[in-house]
Amino acid sequence: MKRIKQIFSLILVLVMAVSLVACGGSSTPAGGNSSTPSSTSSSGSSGSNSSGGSGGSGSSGGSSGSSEPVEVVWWTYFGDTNIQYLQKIIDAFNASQDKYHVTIIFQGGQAEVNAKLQSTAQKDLPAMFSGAVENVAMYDAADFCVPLQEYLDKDTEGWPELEDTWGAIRAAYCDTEGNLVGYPIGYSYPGIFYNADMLKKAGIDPKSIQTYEDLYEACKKLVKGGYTTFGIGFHNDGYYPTASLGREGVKAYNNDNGYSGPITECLYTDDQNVYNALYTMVDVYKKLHAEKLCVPYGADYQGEIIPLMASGDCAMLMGVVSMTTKILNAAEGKFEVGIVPLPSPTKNGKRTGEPAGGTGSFICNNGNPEAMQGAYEFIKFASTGDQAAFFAVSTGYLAPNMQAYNSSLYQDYMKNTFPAIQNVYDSLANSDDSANNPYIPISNEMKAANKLMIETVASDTNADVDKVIKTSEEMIQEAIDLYNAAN
Amino acid sequence: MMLTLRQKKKVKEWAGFLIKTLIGLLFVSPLIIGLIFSFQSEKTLSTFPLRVFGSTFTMQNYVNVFSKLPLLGFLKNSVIVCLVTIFAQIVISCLAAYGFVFFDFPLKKLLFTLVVSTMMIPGEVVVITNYVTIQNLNMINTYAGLILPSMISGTAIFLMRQYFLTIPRDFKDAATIDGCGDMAFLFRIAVPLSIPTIISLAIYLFVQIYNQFFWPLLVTNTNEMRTIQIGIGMLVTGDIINYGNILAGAIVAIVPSVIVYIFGQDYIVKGMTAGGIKG
Repeated sequence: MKRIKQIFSLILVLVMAVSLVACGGSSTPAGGNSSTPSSTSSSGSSGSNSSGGSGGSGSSGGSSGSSEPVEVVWWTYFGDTNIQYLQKIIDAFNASQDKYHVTIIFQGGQAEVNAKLQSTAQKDLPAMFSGAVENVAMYDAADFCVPLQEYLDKDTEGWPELEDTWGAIRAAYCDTEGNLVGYPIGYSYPGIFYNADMLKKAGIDPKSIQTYEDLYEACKKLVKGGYTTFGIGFHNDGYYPTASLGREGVKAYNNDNGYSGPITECLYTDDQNVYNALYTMVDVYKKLHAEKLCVPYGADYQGEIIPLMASGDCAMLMGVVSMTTKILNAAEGKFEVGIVPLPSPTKNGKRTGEPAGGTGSFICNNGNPEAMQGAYEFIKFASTGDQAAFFAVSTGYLAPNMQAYNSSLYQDYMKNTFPAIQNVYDSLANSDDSANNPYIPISNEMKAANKLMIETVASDTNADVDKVIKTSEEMIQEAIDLYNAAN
Repeated sequence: MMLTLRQKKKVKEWAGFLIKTLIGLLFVSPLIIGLIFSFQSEKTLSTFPLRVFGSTFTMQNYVNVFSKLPLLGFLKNSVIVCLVTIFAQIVISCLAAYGFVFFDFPLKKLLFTLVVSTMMIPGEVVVITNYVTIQNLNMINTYAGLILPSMISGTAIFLMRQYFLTIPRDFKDAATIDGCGDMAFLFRIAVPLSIPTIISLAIYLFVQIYNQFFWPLLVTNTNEMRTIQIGIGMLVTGDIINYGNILAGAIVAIVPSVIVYIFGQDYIVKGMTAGGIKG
């Protein structure tokens, strides 16, 4: 037995040694600073030079009189796949000028990035960071964030892409007075992905799924008709109820969702329209689970729901457009994938907009004006047609502005890869900016309360929907009160 | 057919071995399945139902993780942090434990109680204060920042003290008569006698420090200083997750832990029981 252990250990050591030898040359940090030589020729720096110092602003800011480019550090929560795409945009930016050098660095998940931004000393902060659009209110109120508007006001060159940004997404990145806080790098949009072949066979027109009740009927038809095992699977995130209320065209918080004054009340039960919308939506979740028409809530969309779709065991997925690539890859050669915008809870829904999702770029106040200016220049550069289109095509995020949308790259993508995405743009074209995210920095608490609402009715088919909504409202109200008391 | 006593014993041994092997396999099955899946393509891993023995075999996931991430650099950092921290903890805990066992001084019991009570404070509680301290010491993004808060632990001092208590006092008296000072007694007699305990402590610390995620993420800002667990974290975050890559990264990351455990598993049991005789 001892010999077996020794042999096994030896094998493991050998495997390690072989890995070290075989892969020794690939130690360039791709995720962080693997600028290609061509991209850095103008700056005279290679990928390995860029993240010296603290990884924040450090002392690498340089000065305008120096020949060294100003280091612009970007903290992000994007994972390795998206960082690879962003690195290409960064390389193009670094090669396009010699004043700034951008370095992207992974800093954990969303919550971890926010925690680091809040607790890091100013000198160690980056010049730019990624942030979720629903946290715009938080960033606007935070010391570490400088609104883009400050740079925009001083910009004599103009920013045409900003003017041509979809109204809904631009509004989502503005404060209550219309000042720009950040700009989207990945514009996400909720919707329902579907197996077009299966729905066609079942005689369901996906565009007819306008309300949650329509969704229920479609699932019933698909499952009871023997076309599939599950009608739909849900991305288990508390963002969807808020998005659905946006589709309905109702405002679930007082003072016009915080745009005409501070939010002090959650109106889940106080506003009859909000309550009706919520009740209908939650009740549909309950029915779908009680009748086993959907994948049990909580299933992982990447590990469970998309494979179920790929195998024909699930017809639809309620998700966001950034999941597109994964779904298209899984469905490749099996069936055509379609997408329709999120339904509204009731048939009275406006369906003229919804709170934007996804990730934006923000300037971080690290005390280095040149690096912060560099961040602004980069954000502008990343919004230009070709760059924004490249990221959208690679990831599935929406093209944030008309330049990106009209670029040949994106038009090719729409024509050849995912024609159904046009449905989302049609919906966007009919949208107004009335359905913004509630303007208060408690999005995490809101999402948690909303998610709990769905989880409760999904796991307990006898749950009282009215009580479930009240509990959710109490949780959100507590968070609102706490926030207002502390600020 | 009647079995002889020897045959019965043999059958019992084999049955015991078989049962233990099956239980062992059951416990280790997630790792085995993960290892097998790490050699399957993402396309295969996106099918339902998943098959452990899929039709594809590919090294692409390993190629991907090594080409996308500086995993070797992350591993190097993890190993440096582990080695320095373990060395520091062993030295400091041996010195502290020696004092608690062989010296008499006022408030000894109270001080030891204080040391032990630190074991009851969850690490998360002191993360922010530690972070602010490290930040004020300008140690963000340095090995010192990664290592400093882990250099001393109540658990290590407690473990070493418990073992030193089992060393007969006569040894100390005899050594003193022979002109052996405290430091010589500690390093020439007490520490060599404590090797199983020290190794078990080292393995325990290795697993604990090697698996740290939040602290290294907090105090490091660049990939050059990142440890392996953060590297794996980079593979997990985002809307598009490649499970094959995650599994390949995880398998690479657990190799050092497995090696350490294989070499030291005998000492873990010995070390944990060695100090349990006298309290």
